[in-house]
Amino acid sequence: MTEHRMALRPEVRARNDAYSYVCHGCGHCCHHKAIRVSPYEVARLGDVLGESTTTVLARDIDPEMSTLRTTAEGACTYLRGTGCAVHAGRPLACRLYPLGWIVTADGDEAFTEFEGHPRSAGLTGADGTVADYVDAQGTAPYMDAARRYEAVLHRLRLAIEVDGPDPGDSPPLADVDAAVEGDCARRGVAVPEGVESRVDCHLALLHGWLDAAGAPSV
Amino acid sequence: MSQSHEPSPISRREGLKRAASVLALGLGAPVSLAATSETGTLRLSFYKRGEERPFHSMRLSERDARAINSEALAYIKFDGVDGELTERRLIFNGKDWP
Repeated sequence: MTEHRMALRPEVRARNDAYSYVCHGCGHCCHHKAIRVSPYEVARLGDVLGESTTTVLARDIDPEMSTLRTTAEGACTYLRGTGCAVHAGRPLACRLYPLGWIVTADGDEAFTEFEGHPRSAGLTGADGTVADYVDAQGTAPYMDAARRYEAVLHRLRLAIEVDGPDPGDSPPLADVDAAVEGDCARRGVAVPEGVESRVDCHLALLHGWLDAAGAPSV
Repeated sequence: MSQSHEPSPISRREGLKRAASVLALGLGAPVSLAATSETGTLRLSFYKRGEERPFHSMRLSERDARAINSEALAYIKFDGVDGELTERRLIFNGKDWP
């Protein structure tokens, strides 16, 4: 499949704008893309694959860019034929496509839209709203997690600008399972079941580390 | 005399910066958005763990940078994260956004 660089439409959309998109599984959008994944998304991938985030990160994620690996032909590492092997745990960018989600520092959000691949079988229309589309893709927990990790990042940025104690090495930032299992082992407690609980623990660990660094609260 | 190959301890500030870089990559929120000497041009930079110099960067117009700024989240299927974004204009409710 040849590479096609998508153009971003000049308009951005709000949740209540008319929009619909029907994917017909042609797989064009699963080639030649850089899909960045957050710690939460890696945890969801691990959950659907039945593997630890340590394994997923080592095998499927480019550590330099935090993006899904691709084959030599440019296909996503999880593409099987024209189907997704991790569809139930696919990343947010894949759920949103052909929309993109941007949140500003003020918390305002907007949805960008790509012009589709010229041979895409997907159909764009106005049979619903942006909210209908993104909700149907199961984006809510991903967006919630993105905002919670962004709060960690915001505190990190604040901590950089102020003097404070040296907190030592950070907990693993991308590897939720390594961070949580290590902490539970030190405390002699059971590792929590379920992605959401482990991510809650990971976020608490990161905030605890930031507290030790004297990071301002937000 | 043998030389130690142990990595030098890093400062608190450098440690925090590196942590922010790693976390920002996965959030689509590049930690570094610094104005350059190029008039009207801003640069989004991406860092490898433990390195101070960015290894990928994108030049952005000021208008783009306002949409994808240093504190923003951006979940998009990027074609790539190196190279230059083309000039584009974001319009929301008939006005420039944000």
